[in-house]
Amino acid sequence: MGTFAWSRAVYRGLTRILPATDRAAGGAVLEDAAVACLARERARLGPAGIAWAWGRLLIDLIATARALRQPPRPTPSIDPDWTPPNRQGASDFMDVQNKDLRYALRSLGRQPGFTAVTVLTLALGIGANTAVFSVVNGVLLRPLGYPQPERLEYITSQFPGLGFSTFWVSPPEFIEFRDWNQSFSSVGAYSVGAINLDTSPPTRPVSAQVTVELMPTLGVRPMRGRWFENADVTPNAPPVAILSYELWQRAYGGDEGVLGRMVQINNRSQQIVGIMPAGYDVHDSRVEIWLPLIPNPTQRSSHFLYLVGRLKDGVTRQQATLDIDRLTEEWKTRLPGQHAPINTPPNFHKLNTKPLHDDVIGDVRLPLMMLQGAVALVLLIACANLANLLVARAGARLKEYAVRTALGATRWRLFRQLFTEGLVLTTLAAAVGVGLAYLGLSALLTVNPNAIPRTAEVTMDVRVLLFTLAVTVATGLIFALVPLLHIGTVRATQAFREASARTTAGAGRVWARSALVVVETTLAVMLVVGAGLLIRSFVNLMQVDMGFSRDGLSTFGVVLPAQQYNPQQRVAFYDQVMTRLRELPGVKGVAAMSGLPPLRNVLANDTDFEHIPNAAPGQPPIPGVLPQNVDYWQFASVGYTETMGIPVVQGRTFEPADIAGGPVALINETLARRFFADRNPLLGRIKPGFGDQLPWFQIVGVVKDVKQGGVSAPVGTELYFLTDQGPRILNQANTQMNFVVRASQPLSALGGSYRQAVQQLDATLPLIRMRSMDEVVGDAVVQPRFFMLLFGIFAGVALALAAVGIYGILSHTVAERQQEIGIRMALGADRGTIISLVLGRGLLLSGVGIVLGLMGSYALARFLGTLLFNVSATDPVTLGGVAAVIAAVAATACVIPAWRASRVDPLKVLRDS
Amino acid sequence: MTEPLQPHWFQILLALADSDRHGLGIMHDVLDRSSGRIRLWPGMLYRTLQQLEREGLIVDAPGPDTPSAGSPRYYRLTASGRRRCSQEAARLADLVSVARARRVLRKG
Repeated sequence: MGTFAWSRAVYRGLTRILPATDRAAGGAVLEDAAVACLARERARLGPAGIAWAWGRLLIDLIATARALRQPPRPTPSIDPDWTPPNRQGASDFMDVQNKDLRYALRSLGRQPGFTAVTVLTLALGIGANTAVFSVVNGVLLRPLGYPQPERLEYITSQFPGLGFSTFWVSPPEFIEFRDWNQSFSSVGAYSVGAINLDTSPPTRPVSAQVTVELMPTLGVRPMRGRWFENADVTPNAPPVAILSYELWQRAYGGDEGVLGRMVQINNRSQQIVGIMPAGYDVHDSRVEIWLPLIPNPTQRSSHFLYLVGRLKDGVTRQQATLDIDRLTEEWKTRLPGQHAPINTPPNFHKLNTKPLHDDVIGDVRLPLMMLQGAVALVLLIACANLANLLVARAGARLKEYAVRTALGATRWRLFRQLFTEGLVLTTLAAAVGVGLAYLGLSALLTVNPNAIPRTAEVTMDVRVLLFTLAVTVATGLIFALVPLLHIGTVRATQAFREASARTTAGAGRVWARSALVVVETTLAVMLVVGAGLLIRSFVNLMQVDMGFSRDGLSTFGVVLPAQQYNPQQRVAFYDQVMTRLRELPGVKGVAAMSGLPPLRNVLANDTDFEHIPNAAPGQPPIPGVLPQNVDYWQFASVGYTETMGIPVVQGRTFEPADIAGGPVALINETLARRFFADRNPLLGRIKPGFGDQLPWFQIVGVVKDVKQGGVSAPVGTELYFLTDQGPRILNQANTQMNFVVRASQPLSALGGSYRQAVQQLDATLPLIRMRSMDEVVGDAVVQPRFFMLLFGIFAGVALALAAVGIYGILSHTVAERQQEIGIRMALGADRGTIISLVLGRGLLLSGVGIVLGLMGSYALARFLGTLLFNVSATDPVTLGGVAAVIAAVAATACVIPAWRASRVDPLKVLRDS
Repeated sequence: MTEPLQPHWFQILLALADSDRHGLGIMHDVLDRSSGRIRLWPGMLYRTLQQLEREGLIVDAPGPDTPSAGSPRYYRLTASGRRRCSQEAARLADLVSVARARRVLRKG
């Protein structure tokens, strides 16, 4: 039973609070019993039983620890004449503690309603903090799972002239960097893709092609078998592969016999020589199968490699950066004109390095920290609510405290008793909260596995539990301090008077309550403003014009193994698939294209424009001339623009006659603006690459911009070729194609027919990521949606808590002021006056809170700004809307107490006093 | 008349009345016998067993297996333990008969 193995480990950790001798004597028995209790409570109460059982186990363990640390004491039932010896010092302290605990349990047990409300409110707050901290811990704080991960660097190149600050590295650049640098003990390169694997049904696991140095650089050894060796990357070496633990389990059921077995990868036999341990990965790519990569030193212009280097011992990052700068200069003279032409600026095509961990995390650090801040605010609001309850309770218990003070209890003694009471409550709440956090987290990460990096590493480890413990103790302290500060101002005599006579509440208490209303409103406003801005930003994101129409559009991908299909066969295959798809009932349009909008990797293909002069080979670019490079090439079928609903702005789109006709191309509006600002694009001609003996492609049309770099990124330049012309004119055709189908029926009804259409042609082909286009767009905005969702939930909780808090505080005030209200009514005040008295006070306080909250949001605006899309962090509509919503909620929370105040019967009140 | 025995002490002694058991066995026996109403918790059980041993009401018993480092401890009722248990049962029986006589509890 996996869950209980985990529980047992946690419980074993907790038993450390027991004396060592007892742990040694009874540890295993205790664990067995604890597991039995968990199973028992789960059988009795379902999943909630687990949380309940953990709460009880914790209390039970604490009580046991305390009992065991005391000197053995025969029970009175055995020897009624036994008298306690004089105990001093530490044992005396423990005795008092024990009394406090018993007292606390009794006093909480007497008020089950108060206890339940408090525990639940706190559990929400502590649970939310635990859940978010688990994410922060797994993603930001936990080091990457390699030996000495802080010495691993991520190395990329750049082309500032083309607007790329981070770009891939080409194979010869990798080889030269590996051999010439002086700061890294080893450097490896890899490229992530996917392969067809001959499981049944065929699957397409994520693959990484890695140079032989990569795995030793990362430093994690295989669980079974071996790393790649130099013999694997010699020409004609037998092809090999290494499995990830996850793929080994999923596809081969963890069968040890798979080691040495031949499997079909892209229809080619390769031998499995190793299995990596669970969780092994590079740069959070979720790699499932590892293949050797032989860097080809002639591919100087194909940049497709990621580099990871391990710094030599004693070499700092600054030294490494200087070393790279030196190397970049050296490149110009050692290989003139090949890496960077002479006389180019030093940053022309230089390599950059940054810690691998920073690159993996990317830009989620800020939103995650903000999320942690948001849940801290939620907990603060929960505490404010409870502080109010406590002040109210302190009022009710004033007499008790007064009596105890009169009998000689010191403030320290009172504090300790209150603190114990607080700790019992918060510990219960923490137990429930950890359960809630666990369930919430699993649900969240199951639904959004790709929203943020490293989600596979988010677990509740010891650090998370320690964090929860710290939060719990801090919250417990608030419990002790709030009433104590309050009592501190009350003298015993006054307390007696106040507690016995039903006069109005003391000024101190009224002031404290008003402050709580203001604080709660302020915090709620700040959270709701944050959530409101993120929601508006997300709405803006969803309203962005993608450049095509998504209604009824769905898509899937197919990859043809290059060994089996030559370019002509590939294009023929794609045409056959499209013909079969068109015959399906309800299908209105079918097309195929190489890149799936709205989120593609930038290609940055060199493209020759006829009207732009070229620099001589090996010379720096001519100043003032645009670099001839296009962000995206798109190989599309006839009917692509019609099926996608992309309007033609100028000229025409691809037509069936083009298949056998002269070379043609389409461009998007951005490309037309950039390269044809002052001339007619329909007269322009282009050519892929440079210096090849390829014919010029006539531009026949300009089409509307389609998003390719993500929904929020500006559209890049895009050039469309006709797939069917590829084999004849360029002697090539893409091995990977995306099909789009526009149909009147949903994907759920047609998906099976799509699969049939492909697999009737080739049964070994898996269909890749069949999705509706709405899902494709949704996946492109998964991160903003994730943060919007969480902020929204927390803001909702904050708003609800604040509303309950304001209601509770006002209700209590009304209850306390009954006598005063009664007298006012007896003296002639009508109901309207009383209602406006209570309502006015509530609204005034929340009004102050709203103003303070708006000021607070304004101050925090600069943090939120970077996360927003097309909405300012101080957007007046959002701020005004939130203010109105909070005012409405506050007014609603005030109405019931106000109405209740107006129903006070003056006769009854005056008689009672 | 002796002092009343704490209820969970009595339950544990009862569990050992018919056979030697280990901690987990006691927990299950008490749970089964009370139809799930009396639920012991690990620390409480451990503490109570320690106290009962100290009072001389129970002792270690040889388990069915040869002892090894990980094997659980078995407990057995001592003569005085059995006496305390039956005294408590008698006390409760007295109470029951009084309750019946006063028609607080119906027969059967």
